Amino acid sequence: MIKRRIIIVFVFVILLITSLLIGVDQRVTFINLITFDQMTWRIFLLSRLPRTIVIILCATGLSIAGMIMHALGRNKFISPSTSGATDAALLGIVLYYLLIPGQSTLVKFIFSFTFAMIATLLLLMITNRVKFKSSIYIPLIGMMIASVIGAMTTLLAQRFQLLQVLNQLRVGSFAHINIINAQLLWVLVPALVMGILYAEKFNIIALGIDFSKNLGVNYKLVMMMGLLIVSTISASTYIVVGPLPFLGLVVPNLLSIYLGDNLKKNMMDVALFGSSFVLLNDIIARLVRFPGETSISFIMGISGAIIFFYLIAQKVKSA
Amino acid sequence: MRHNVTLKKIYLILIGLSFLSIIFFMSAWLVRYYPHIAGNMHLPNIQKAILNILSERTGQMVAMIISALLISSTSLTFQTLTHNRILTPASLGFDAIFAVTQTLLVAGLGFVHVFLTNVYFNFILSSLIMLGIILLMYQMVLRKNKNNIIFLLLVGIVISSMALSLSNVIQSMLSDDAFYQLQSLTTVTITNINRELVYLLMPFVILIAFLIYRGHRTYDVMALGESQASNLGVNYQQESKRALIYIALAIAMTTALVGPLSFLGLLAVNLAREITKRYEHKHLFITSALISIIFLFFGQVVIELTHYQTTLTTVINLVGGIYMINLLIRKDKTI
Repeated sequence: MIKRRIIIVFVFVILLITSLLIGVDQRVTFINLITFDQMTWRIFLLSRLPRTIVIILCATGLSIAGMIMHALGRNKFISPSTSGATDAALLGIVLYYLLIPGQSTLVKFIFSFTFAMIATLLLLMITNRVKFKSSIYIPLIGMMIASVIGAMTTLLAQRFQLLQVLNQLRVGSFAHINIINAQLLWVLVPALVMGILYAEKFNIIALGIDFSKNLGVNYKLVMMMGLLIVSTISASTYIVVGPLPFLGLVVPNLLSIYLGDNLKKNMMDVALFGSSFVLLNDIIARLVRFPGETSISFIMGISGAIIFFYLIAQKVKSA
Repeated sequence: MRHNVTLKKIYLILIGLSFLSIIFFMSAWLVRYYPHIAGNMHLPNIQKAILNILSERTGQMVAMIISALLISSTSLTFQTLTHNRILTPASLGFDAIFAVTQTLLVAGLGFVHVFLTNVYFNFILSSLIMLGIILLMYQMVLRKNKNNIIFLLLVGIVISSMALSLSNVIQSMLSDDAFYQLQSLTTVTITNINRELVYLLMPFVILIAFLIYRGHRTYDVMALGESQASNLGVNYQQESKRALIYIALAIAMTTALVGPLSFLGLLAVNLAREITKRYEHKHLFITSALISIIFLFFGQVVIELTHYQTTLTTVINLVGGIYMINLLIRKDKTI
């Protein structure tokens, strides 16, 4: 138990240091940092450190959002990216560019937040109304909603000559992160705090509506709370970084195999593991064609898919 | 008896509508060019231009009919095999496999290689590769898991997202020229169809469509479920494997020909079920093919009259997706 925690922390620290020391500017080394070279510290503080912090924040947020969604939807294959929430967040951003461009990032966030919320609600509504022969159909429907929303977004972009903006938005990257444009991620803090406070209630919700009523939990309120948290996290990370495929799906699933489904107990592990996963992918994305940079979305699309594949194979074997 | 009468009526209406849509499509260009040709019909170059347009349209028309036929029949068969109404072969991620095939070809052979620039070579090569990948997927999944099509489906989703990412990574490492070559190869739409290729494909398409249609009685039995079908004397494993191969072939062709149209099959087959209220594959094959023809041609006409502000794929995804979600929400169902 403790040994496992030590390993996770150890891996995390190593990846953290590697991530901080990789970059085009070769001056950022340990020695220069220790000797307080001014230029080195400026690069470190203005670009390297914010980037790494943003990676950790986004990874933590999306992994925990995925975990919460598994509980809300009572399904292991639901996550922000397989429920249409991510695509709806994108639609919100595109609408913002169309209707009132040039406003503050907060307005942009409210737009994309609202849409992410609606999409998640729609999926949960469908999953509550339709009986499914297999839990695998739920993410399929989520992806169907996602592709409808995607088609709407493309239609709007084609109509108003926004296709280039859209193509940029559809690719996630940590390359442009600095202190200023990452400020929106402050909204993650209350969301994560609420997530921790409500963790046990989400666990109860996952038992079903009758059980949670029996146990004295306000089903609708907790459900709404979960939706708020998940939508906040999806929308804000989408605006700052872009899509990070498979993250909310793979990380909580992998950990729940080994740790079980106790949300509160797992939160720290999920955060650490998710951060390590994204840090590793980001390092690969930066090294694939150094000094250039590949988008992390694509690297995660490959590595996440491989892990997901493994998960499905496990599931089929046991079924 | 009454049942047959309504079915006949449905057939008549659908056939009429599809003819109407084809006629609309063949004459939609007139709206735009009428001012140019009105009164100038006697000029030889105008006549030549009209002939040119008409022959181009004919090619497009044939390609669209081919795609409608193949997409609807494969969707129906696939739904029978999976016992599910919300699936199409497109859920297996064939468009992504097409994109990654082209990317690998460009990256592996170089962008000026004759296999890429020659349409026939490219088509045959990429169809073969796609077929190979798909059969490999079937083999891997189906042999181990005894026809576990849900597993195949998930594998398809994962593979498609992986293939898309992979082709993007490779694309980011290509030279500019190679990248543009790749772009022109992967963005196939109905308006830039290669006409010679369409005519070349005709016999194959007719053969496959015939093979699928011929099995309609077997599929009727297979729709009952595996054990029932086996009881009634259908070799379920073998038949479903054969059907999957037909589907793979048909999808390889349509994707290479007109690009991805994932929701068309879903829309057409479900509408056919709703309109006819029949379960026989014989009727469903025909009605769903007619419905997809109607949607394809009317959709293309609408896009043309709105001056190509969007693509057919986007419109069909939108309409088909909304219809499917509506179908799911409308009543409590088990799927």
